[in-house]
Amino acid sequence: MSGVGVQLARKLQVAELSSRIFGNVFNPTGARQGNYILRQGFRGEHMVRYYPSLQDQNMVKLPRLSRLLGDKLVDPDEIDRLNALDRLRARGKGAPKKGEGKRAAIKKKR
Amino acid sequence: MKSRVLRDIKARQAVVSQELKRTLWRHLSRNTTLDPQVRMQAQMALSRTPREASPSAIKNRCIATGRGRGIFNQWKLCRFQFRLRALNGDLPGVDKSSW
Repeated sequence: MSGVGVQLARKLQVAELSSRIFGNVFNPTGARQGNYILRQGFRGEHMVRYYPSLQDQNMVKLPRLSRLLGDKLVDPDEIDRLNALDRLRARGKGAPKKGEGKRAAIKKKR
Repeated sequence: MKSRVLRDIKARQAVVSQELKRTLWRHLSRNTTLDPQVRMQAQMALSRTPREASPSAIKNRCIATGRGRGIFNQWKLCRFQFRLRALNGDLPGVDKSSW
Protein backbone atom coordinates (compact mmCIF):
# COMPACT_ATOMS: atom_id res chain seq x y z
CA MET A 1 0.00 0.00 0.00
CA SER A 2 3.00 2.26 0.40
CA GLY A 3 3.15 2.59 -3.37
CA VAL A 4 -0.24 4.36 -3.42
CA GLY A 5 0.92 6.80 -0.76
CA VAL A 6 4.03 7.65 -2.73
CA GLN A 7 1.94 8.17 -5.85
CA LEU A 8 -0.40 10.53 -3.99
CA ALA A 9 2.52 12.52 -2.61
CA ARG A 10 4.02 12.80 -6.07
CA LYS A 11 0.67 13.93 -7.48
CA LEU A 12 0.49 16.64 -4.85
CA GLN A 13 4.02 17.74 -5.67
CA VAL A 14 3.17 17.95 -9.36
CA ALA A 15 0.02 19.94 -8.61
CA GLU A 16 1.99 22.36 -6.44
CA LEU A 17 4.66 22.77 -9.09
CA SER A 18 2.13 23.34 -11.87
CA SER A 19 0.19 25.87 -9.78
CA ARG A 20 3.44 27.71 -9.07
CA ILE A 21 4.37 27.71 -12.75
CA PHE A 22 0.97 28.84 -14.01
CA GLY A 23 0.29 31.25 -11.16
CA ASN A 24 -2.67 29.31 -9.76
CA VAL A 25 -3.61 28.92 -6.12
CA PHE A 26 -2.45 25.65 -4.53
CA ASN A 27 -5.16 24.64 -2.12
CA PRO A 28 -5.41 20.82 -1.88
CA THR A 29 -7.57 20.80 1.27
CA GLY A 30 -10.13 23.18 -0.28
CA ALA A 31 -9.83 25.68 2.57
CA ARG A 32 -11.94 28.83 2.13
CA GLN A 33 -9.56 31.59 1.10
CA GLY A 34 -12.11 34.19 0.06
CA ASN A 35 -10.55 34.56 -3.37
CA TYR A 36 -13.97 34.73 -4.97
CA ILE A 37 -14.33 38.18 -3.42
CA LEU A 38 -11.21 39.42 -5.22
CA ARG A 39 -12.54 37.93 -8.45
CA GLN A 40 -15.87 39.77 -8.24
CA GLY A 41 -14.69 43.09 -9.64
CA PHE A 42 -15.87 46.59 -8.76
CA ARG A 43 -19.39 47.68 -9.67
CA GLY A 44 -19.58 50.98 -7.79
CA GLU A 45 -18.72 53.11 -10.82
CA HIS A 46 -21.60 51.51 -12.69
CA MET A 47 -23.93 52.08 -9.72
CA VAL A 48 -23.08 55.79 -9.57
CA ARG A 49 -24.11 56.22 -13.19
CA TYR A 50 -27.68 55.00 -12.53
CA TYR A 51 -29.40 58.40 -12.32
CA PRO A 52 -28.94 60.64 -15.38
CA SER A 53 -26.98 63.86 -14.82
CA LEU A 54 -28.60 67.25 -15.45
CA GLN A 55 -27.00 67.42 -18.89
CA ASP A 56 -28.39 64.01 -19.82
CA GLN A 57 -31.84 65.07 -18.64
CA ASN A 58 -31.76 68.15 -20.86
CA MET A 59 -30.64 66.03 -23.77
CA VAL A 60 -33.62 63.75 -23.27
CA LYS A 61 -36.06 66.65 -23.04
CA LEU A 62 -35.00 68.18 -26.39
CA PRO A 63 -36.56 66.63 -29.47
CA ARG A 64 -34.09 64.37 -31.20
CA LEU A 65 -34.03 66.22 -34.52
CA SER A 66 -33.50 69.67 -33.03
CA ARG A 67 -30.63 68.22 -31.03
CA LEU A 68 -28.98 67.33 -34.32
CA LEU A 69 -29.74 70.61 -36.12
CA GLY A 70 -28.96 72.81 -33.16
CA ASP A 71 -31.72 75.40 -33.61
CA LYS A 72 -35.46 75.44 -33.17
CA LEU A 73 -37.67 73.66 -35.63
CA VAL A 74 -41.16 74.43 -36.91
CA ASP A 75 -43.84 74.03 -34.26
CA PRO A 76 -47.04 72.82 -36.03
CA ASP A 77 -49.28 73.79 -33.08
CA GLU A 78 -47.99 77.37 -33.14
CA ILE A 79 -48.58 77.63 -36.91
CA ASP A 80 -52.15 76.40 -36.45
CA ARG A 81 -52.75 79.00 -33.74
CA LEU A 82 -51.42 81.86 -35.90
CA ASN A 83 -53.51 80.74 -38.88
CA ALA A 84 -56.64 80.66 -36.73
CA LEU A 85 -55.88 84.18 -35.48
CA ASP A 86 -55.43 85.40 -39.05
CA ARG A 87 -58.77 83.92 -40.03
CA LEU A 88 -60.49 85.65 -37.09
CA ARG A 89 -58.92 89.01 -37.95
CA ALA A 90 -59.97 88.69 -41.60
CA ARG A 91 -63.57 88.39 -40.40
CA GLY A 92 -63.13 91.29 -38.02
CA LYS A 93 -63.48 88.99 -34.99
CA GLY A 94 -59.96 89.27 -33.63
CA ALA A 95 -59.08 90.36 -30.12
CA PRO A 96 -59.18 94.18 -29.72
CA LYS A 97 -55.97 96.14 -29.25
CA LYS A 98 -55.09 97.43 -25.82
CA GLY A 99 -57.22 100.41 -24.87
CA GLU A 100 -59.95 99.60 -27.40
CA GLY A 101 -61.85 96.91 -25.54
CA LYS A 102 -65.20 97.10 -23.69
CA ARG A 103 -63.68 97.90 -20.34
CA ALA A 104 -61.51 100.69 -21.75
CA ALA A 105 -64.64 102.25 -23.34
CA ILE A 106 -66.43 102.28 -19.95
CA LYS A 107 -63.45 103.93 -18.29
CA LYS A 108 -63.32 106.68 -20.95
CA LYS A 109 -67.01 107.60 -20.32
CA ARG A 110 -66.37 108.41 -16.67
CA MET B 1 -39.74 61.81 -3.52
CA LYS B 2 -36.75 63.85 -4.60
CA SER B 3 -35.11 63.48 -1.18
CA ARG B 4 -35.17 59.71 -1.44
CA VAL B 5 -33.38 59.91 -4.78
CA LEU B 6 -30.79 62.29 -3.32
CA ARG B 7 -30.24 59.88 -0.44
CA ASP B 8 -29.77 57.05 -2.90
CA ILE B 9 -27.27 59.09 -4.95
CA LYS B 10 -25.32 59.80 -1.77
CA ALA B 11 -25.30 56.12 -0.88
CA ARG B 12 -24.02 55.23 -4.33
CA GLN B 13 -21.15 57.69 -3.94
CA ALA B 14 -20.39 56.17 -0.53
CA VAL B 15 -20.26 52.72 -2.14
CA VAL B 16 -17.66 53.91 -4.64
CA SER B 17 -15.50 55.61 -2.06
CA GLN B 18 -15.52 52.63 0.33
CA GLU B 19 -15.41 49.89 -2.27
CA LEU B 20 -11.69 49.07 -2.21
CA LYS B 21 -11.52 49.02 1.58
CA ARG B 22 -14.64 46.92 1.89
CA THR B 23 -13.37 44.40 -0.66
CA LEU B 24 -10.10 43.96 1.20
CA TRP B 25 -11.83 43.60 4.56
CA ARG B 26 -14.30 41.15 3.13
CA HIS B 27 -11.47 39.10 1.68
CA LEU B 28 -9.55 39.10 4.97
CA SER B 29 -12.57 38.15 7.03
CA ARG B 30 -13.60 35.29 4.70
CA ASN B 31 -10.08 33.83 4.42
CA THR B 32 -10.01 30.88 6.84
CA THR B 33 -6.27 30.36 6.40
CA LEU B 34 -5.51 33.66 8.13
CA ASP B 35 -4.99 34.32 11.83
CA PRO B 36 -8.35 34.44 13.66
CA GLN B 37 -7.47 37.78 15.21
CA VAL B 38 -6.86 39.33 11.80
CA ARG B 39 -10.18 37.99 10.56
CA MET B 40 -11.95 39.31 13.64
CA GLN B 41 -10.48 42.77 13.15
CA ALA B 42 -11.49 42.78 9.50
CA GLN B 43 -15.04 41.81 10.43
CA MET B 44 -15.20 44.58 13.02
CA ALA B 45 -13.88 47.10 10.51
CA LEU B 46 -16.59 45.98 8.09
CA SER B 47 -19.31 46.43 10.67
CA ARG B 48 -17.95 49.89 11.50
CA THR B 49 -18.40 51.17 7.92
CA PRO B 50 -21.67 53.03 7.36
CA ARG B 51 -24.58 50.93 6.20
CA GLU B 52 -25.12 53.05 3.09
CA ALA B 53 -21.66 52.11 1.79
CA SER B 54 -22.87 48.55 1.32
CA PRO B 55 -23.91 47.83 -2.29
CA SER B 56 -26.92 45.89 -1.07
CA ALA B 57 -28.29 49.04 0.56
CA ILE B 58 -28.61 50.63 -2.88
CA LYS B 59 -32.14 50.82 -4.24
CA ASN B 60 -32.89 51.30 -7.90
CA ARG B 61 -35.52 54.02 -8.07
CA CYS B 62 -37.56 55.45 -10.90
CA ILE B 63 -35.53 58.15 -12.64
CA ALA B 64 -38.71 60.07 -13.53
CA THR B 65 -40.66 60.01 -10.28
CA GLY B 66 -38.33 58.53 -7.67
CA ARG B 67 -40.71 55.69 -6.91
CA GLY B 68 -38.97 52.78 -5.18
CA ARG B 69 -41.28 49.92 -6.13
CA GLY B 70 -42.30 48.37 -9.40
CA ILE B 71 -39.22 49.47 -11.35
CA PHE B 72 -38.33 48.06 -14.74
CA ASN B 73 -34.55 47.95 -14.47
CA GLN B 74 -34.08 47.93 -18.22
CA TRP B 75 -35.73 51.37 -18.51
CA LYS B 76 -35.13 52.57 -14.90
CA LEU B 77 -38.79 53.58 -14.78
CA CYS B 78 -41.63 52.67 -12.47
CA ARG B 79 -44.48 50.70 -13.96
CA PHE B 80 -46.78 53.68 -14.50
CA GLN B 81 -44.15 55.90 -16.15
CA PHE B 82 -43.17 52.90 -18.23
CA ARG B 83 -46.76 52.47 -19.40
CA LEU B 84 -47.19 56.15 -20.20
CA ARG B 85 -44.01 56.32 -22.23
CA ALA B 86 -44.54 53.01 -23.94
CA LEU B 87 -48.00 54.08 -25.09
CA ASN B 88 -46.57 57.43 -26.20
CA GLY B 89 -43.93 55.62 -28.25
CA ASP B 90 -40.95 57.01 -26.33
CA LEU B 91 -39.44 53.61 -25.60
CA PRO B 92 -37.92 52.07 -28.70
CA GLY B 93 -38.86 48.46 -29.26
CA VAL B 94 -41.73 48.47 -26.76
CA ASP B 95 -45.14 47.72 -28.20
CA LYS B 96 -48.50 47.03 -26.65
CA SER B 97 -49.50 43.46 -27.24
CA SER B 98 -52.77 41.63 -27.07
CA TRP B 99 -53.59 37.98 -27.65
